[in-house]
Parts: sequence; C-alpha cells; structure tokens
Amino acid sequence: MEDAQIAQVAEDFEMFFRSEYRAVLGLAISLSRNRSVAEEIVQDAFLIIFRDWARVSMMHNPSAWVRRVVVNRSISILRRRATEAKVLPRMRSASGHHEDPSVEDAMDVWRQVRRLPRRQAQVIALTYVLDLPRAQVAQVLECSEETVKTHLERARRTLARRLTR
Amino acid sequence: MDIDLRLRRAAEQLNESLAREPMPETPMLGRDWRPSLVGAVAVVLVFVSALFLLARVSGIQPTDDLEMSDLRPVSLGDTHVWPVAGRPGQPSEVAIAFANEVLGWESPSSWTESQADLSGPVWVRVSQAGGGSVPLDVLTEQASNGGRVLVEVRVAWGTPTSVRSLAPDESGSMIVLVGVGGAETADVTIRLTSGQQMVLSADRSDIASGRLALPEISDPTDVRTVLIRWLDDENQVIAATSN
Repeated sequence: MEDAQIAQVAEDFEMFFRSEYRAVLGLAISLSRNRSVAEEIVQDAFLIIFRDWARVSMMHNPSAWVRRVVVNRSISILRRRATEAKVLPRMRSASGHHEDPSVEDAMDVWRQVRRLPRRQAQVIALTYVLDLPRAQVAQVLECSEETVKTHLERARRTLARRLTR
Repeated sequence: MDIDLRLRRAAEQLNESLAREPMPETPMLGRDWRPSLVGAVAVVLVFVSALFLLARVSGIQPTDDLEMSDLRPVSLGDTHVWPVAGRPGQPSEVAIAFANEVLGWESPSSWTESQADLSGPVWVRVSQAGGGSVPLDVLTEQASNGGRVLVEVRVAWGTPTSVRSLAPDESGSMIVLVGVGGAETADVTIRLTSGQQMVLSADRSDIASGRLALPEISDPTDVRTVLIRWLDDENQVIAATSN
C-alpha cells in the first residue's frame, strides 16, 4: 500500500473515531459500572475496528457496527481486577458536584438501567443516550422494531417501579 | 417524575459531562503516527500486546453480569469445560459437583453406565428432581493431574453447542443456540485462546433467532470453551450445554 493510501486510511479512521467516540463512550458509561471500564470498552472496540478497518469502512453502516460491539461488551465486559480496584466514577469527580442532585439522580438511573436484562438495558441506552429512533436501535441490535418496542416498554415499567421506591 | 423525562435528563447529564471533556487522540494512531504500513502494524501490535499482558497479569473476572442474576461466575478450562484443574473422585462425583457448584442444583442425582471403563471417557447423566430442569449428559475424562474433568455438557439426547463465523457479509462469530424448552434467558461464558473469559447473556430474542452474535471475535477458532447456562423465568438454571 502506498504511503498516500495509508494516510488516507488513517484520516478516514480518525474522522470515524472523532464522530463516534463521545457517543459510544456515553453508551458504554451508561451500561457499565464505571468510567475506567467504559473507556476500556471503547478503546477495545476501536482497536477491533482499526484492525478490520478495510472491511468495516466498506460496510453500509459502520456506526451501527461499533455501537453493537460496544453495547455487547458493556454488558458482558471482560473485567479486570485491577480496573475494578480503581473504581471511581469520573462522572462524579469530573463535575465536582457530589451533592448535585441531578448527577446523583442520573447515576441512580444508570445504576438501575444496568440491573435490567441485557437487551432492555441496551435498548434504553441506545434510545436515550444516543437518541436513536426505534428503527436504528433495531438495526444496531439486529432485531425487529417490535422487539425494541417490547423491550422499551418493559424496561420503562421496571425502571418506573424501581426508581420510585 | 415521569420515567421518560427522568431517563432523558439522565442522558442529557451524561452527554453534557462528556461534551465538556477534551477529545482524546485517536488511540491507535497517536500524535506521532506516520503514514507507513510498518508503523501502523507496530502500533497495533504494541497495543494488542499491552492489552493481553494486562489481561494475563491481572486476570479476567467475569463479574459484570452478577448484578443481573445470582449465577456464580465459572472459570472454564482451556481444553475442557470444568473444573480448571482435574478434581479427584468418581465420574459421578465430579458431575454432581458441577451440578451443585456451577448450576446451583441443590440435590442432583446421577446415573453412570455400570460397565464404564474409568480410564477412558465416561458419560454421566445428571438430573434434579422437581422444578423444570432438564436431565443433562456430561462427559468426564481423566485429567493430566490424575483427577477428572468435564469435557462436554449437553442436554440428554441433545447436541452440543457450536461456534461459527457469521455470514460472509458480517464481521465476527456467533454461537449457535439450540434452544432448551422453558428457557427464558441464557448465561454464556466464553474462554478465548488468549486465556480471557467473557460472559454474555442471551435473551428470548437471541434464543428465538438461534444464535448469539459475537462481532468482536473475528475468528471463531479464537473461542476455546463455551458453557451456556439456560435460565427459566425465575433465574434458575434448568440446563447447560457446552461446545
């Protein structure tokens, strides 16, 4: 491969990374228990994509692909003890407002989302964090829109019950 | 407060806090990346090596799903299912220990063919009275340490699990899910050739589709061992299958 071609590949990948990074990090944070793990998931996901970029970049929707990798890994992440030990949700420390009720409430919401069955949690994260319409959620999760609707309804019911206790 | 509104606010809070953060460098390329193939390959190799080194040093703990079910995490063997090191005892004893410790069955019973040659592979049927559980056939074998291990688990008269490539136009692998009657969800533990373990859960839609996609595992041969624990609607293990 010529240098110019490689530079073009790098540029394409860089653009993809920049356009997707925050979205998938938000997804990973909402679905995994701490920020460090979420960053690790996102790093892993982009590494996988980088290795297979020639193929992924030709896909109809590479964004859906990276999101699928991240939602899968977020729920069933390869956990490392070392990472677990330094659990300190930076979502708190970065904002510096431990007492901020909106931060506390958001953390409480995501804690409850993570207790949902896997698919329900994924549907909630894709719907709310990425603000995806039902059709796109279905595309990421490789299921029907009807399934997404069912998961969403069940998840909302469960969350409403748990969060009002 | 309405749950929809609360979720929207939680998402806004999360997205706003992320928007305030500086964008990191593209991790695979870095600031000093130069457009040369050798450089790119080297960067990837170093990054991958570091990941695997970290994984080996610190060990992988499949703990994330613990919040979602009461299932105990299980460590799988490289060339067999369970336990990691051979356990002393008769085939039936190891099979019962598996049912107790891995499946959470309180009073399982076992049946071993009377003419079995204990120096070779021995099938044991394990079942649990009551409940909706399904009888299992487990194949035990002598391990190098003189103990016994399970090399295969399947629903009695059923077939084992397999791992395959996804369709040619998709990237990744998949686990074929041969459904078990009464199973609502499944807990899937996977051991990779790297020694890493991951835990996935399959829900009804996965089970209905007959597969669990693993887009992050490009080569199905990277998967060494798979153990699927099938759960009913009360999160009780009713069956298990391995590859």
